[in-house]
Amino acid sequence: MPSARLRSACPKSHSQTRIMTAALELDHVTKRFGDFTAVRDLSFAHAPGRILGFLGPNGAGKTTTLRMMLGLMKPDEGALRVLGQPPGRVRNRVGYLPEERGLYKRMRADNVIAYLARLKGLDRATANRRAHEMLERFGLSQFARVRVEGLSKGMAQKVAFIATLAHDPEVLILDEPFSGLDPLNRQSFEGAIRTLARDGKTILFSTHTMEQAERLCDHLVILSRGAKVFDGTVAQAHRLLPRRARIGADADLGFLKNLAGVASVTAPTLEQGTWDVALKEGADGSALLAACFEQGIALSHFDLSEPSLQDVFVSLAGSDAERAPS
Amino acid sequence: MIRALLVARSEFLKYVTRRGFIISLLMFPVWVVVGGVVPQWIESKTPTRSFTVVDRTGGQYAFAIAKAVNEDAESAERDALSAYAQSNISMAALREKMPAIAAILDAPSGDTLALRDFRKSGGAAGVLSLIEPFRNTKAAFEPPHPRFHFVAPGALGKTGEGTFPSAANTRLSGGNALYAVVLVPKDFSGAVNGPEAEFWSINASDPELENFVQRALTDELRRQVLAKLAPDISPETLKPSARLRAFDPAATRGDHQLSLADQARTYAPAVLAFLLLLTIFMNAGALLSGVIEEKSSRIVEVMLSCVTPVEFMAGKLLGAAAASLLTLILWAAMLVGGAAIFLPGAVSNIGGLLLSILSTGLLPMLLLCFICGLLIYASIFLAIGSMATSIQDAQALVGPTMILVMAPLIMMPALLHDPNGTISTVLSWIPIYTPFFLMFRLPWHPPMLEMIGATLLMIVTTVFLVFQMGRVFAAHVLTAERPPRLGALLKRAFGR
Repeated sequence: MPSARLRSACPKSHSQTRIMTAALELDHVTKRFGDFTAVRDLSFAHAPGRILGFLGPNGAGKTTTLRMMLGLMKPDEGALRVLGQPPGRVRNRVGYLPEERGLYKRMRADNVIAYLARLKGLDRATANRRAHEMLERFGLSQFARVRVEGLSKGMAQKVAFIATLAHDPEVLILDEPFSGLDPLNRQSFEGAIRTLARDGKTILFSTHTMEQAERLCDHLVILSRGAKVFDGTVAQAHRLLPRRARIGADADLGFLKNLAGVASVTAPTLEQGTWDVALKEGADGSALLAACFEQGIALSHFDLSEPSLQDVFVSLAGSDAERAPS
Repeated sequence: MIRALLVARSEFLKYVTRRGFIISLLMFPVWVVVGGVVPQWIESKTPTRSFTVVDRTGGQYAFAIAKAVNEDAESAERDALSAYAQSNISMAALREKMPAIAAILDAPSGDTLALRDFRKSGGAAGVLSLIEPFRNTKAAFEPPHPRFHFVAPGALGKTGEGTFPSAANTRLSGGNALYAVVLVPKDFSGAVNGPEAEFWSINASDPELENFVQRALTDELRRQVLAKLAPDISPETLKPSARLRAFDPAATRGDHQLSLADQARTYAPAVLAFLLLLTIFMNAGALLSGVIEEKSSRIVEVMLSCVTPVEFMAGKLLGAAAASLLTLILWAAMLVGGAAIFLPGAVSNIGGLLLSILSTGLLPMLLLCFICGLLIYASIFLAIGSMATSIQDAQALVGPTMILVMAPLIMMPALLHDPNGTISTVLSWIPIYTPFFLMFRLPWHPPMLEMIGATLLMIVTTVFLVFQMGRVFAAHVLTAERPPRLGALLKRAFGR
């Protein structure tokens, strides 16, 4: 498969997509650690009540950006606003789930949820009540008095997720929320995230799993080496790469490149035994079939497909991902 | 502030519910018992050591040693009776009704005049019958067994020079073996190189009897010299014993005589200063491992999405300080509780001493020093924890820091020797040691100007270090880098 290198493939500029009531807004944010620039001139805005997928290979600057959104770090340049304010001022309106649970192992499940909820501004009685209600809702009420270290990985992840939600935040920032979960728990988490979005919560989650991003997200931001390489919807992401046709035939199909809607034609290789035809935007695959029939070529295979998000991601960040530090 | 208190509460509960805290708490009474009771117990379990003296001078030295053995047993008996009386006899009433007997029991160990009066009063049996009406417990007096037993040399005394070693060896082995045999040669007192006796024993590692015999022989030689110079003076007169009573113009008793409470008030700050270092030892590990665990499991990110780094660190410091204060309170309670169980008569004494320490005007200052010390050292350890990514990293930084923090222990003798001397004064002005040395010197009334200056320095140091270490903590607690080099670290810690 040929590798299309795409740079700065944002469908619209940040200024064009600026949303007046953005829940999350980054404006030319740069963060450096010594000589290393972790995040470079990053700008995007995310509307309330929607799900944003934050994608990028290891070392792309995702965690640094999340930390800046949480107010844990300050940018060297640019500005961030969460719910219209600097991040440090809206701590109690934001929930954060780190990749590695982020719970005190020796605390009981109900206590750790109530403790974090109290730190987010709930009074003791409300925090305790919310902890027990949510444990009940997630089917963990019988584990309320069990220490976190005594829970399975999936249960501990659920407890961490509950702790993120217990204070009823408006914005949820989830760092790799599905890592380490089995398929059933993953499905249950996806359902919970969709429900929260329906309830009007603004959600940002970082992930490596493109299928989940494709299923859940309204909006994608892809980072590579600290810089934004995509900012748009899933549909827009799909359109970044041309539709492709894979055609199996014994004859030479090089003539197809002369057709109006064809961008390129690649001969079969040892790895891929079919001709690979990249179409221009809006081109119809039926023209390929018609041209082959006109030439009297017998086809053994014809497959016209949309590029997957994985293809887009690899195209945008693949080579950088290999270079990026883990 | 409320969030810092919530963190402090959680940290406090984390400290006091961990196994290490409970063990450390229980180790203190174990340590007190091991340090105070075990040596006495070992001594009580040490069998009486029987020995004999072959005195070729005619017998005067053997007699002197035998007499010293008797006096030693009497002295041990008086000491034991004195300890028994302090716990089981109403000493206040006894002092009022029978001051002479009370003086025998109040006298320190080794007081020859008290021993003379003890003997005159009929020894342990005689004194016990006199103090019986003042007994306030049912505990009976158990006389100690004597350390040494003098036995007659028998046939060994008649052996010649050549056969003595084998004869002595026979007496030092077998079923009823003696512990030692002492040979006083014929020319003992007139020897050219000075008096020298022989001490034969199969246990060369225990010098107690050897030293005792040497002292008894020396006393006898001196007695003989004095007797020649003043033949009419009685042996008792030749053994004068000077008593010293301690006075202090600031003592609480009307006559300025130092009471036990005065002494307790003098030494309590030193003990508290020592306990400050002990609690630092106890908490340093927990502080470090706590921060490293929070970093490695990314709890710190969750916490810092809830509270500011300053609130987080302040909560941790307050939690550690509260746990340390609780430790002190529980140790004091254990002391009183242990005394109530094992030394019922001493409870009122110990309780009174604690009350007298608590009621002293020094208490607020002691507490201030203690808390400032804790905050200074805890903030340093928290900053170290924030820079480390593993326990190994932390240990590399903690080693030199611990040596620095524990330096006051090395200076203890100099401090005790001269609490307001040059060394003590200079050390008081080294900011990280100010709380320790100020606390230590308080009872010795350092100059007022120095007190005010050192107190201000201590408060400024505490605020400065907590603030600067807070900066280091905030800068490093989210990083996964290796600890910075010393130069960079100092720049971050003390830079603007």
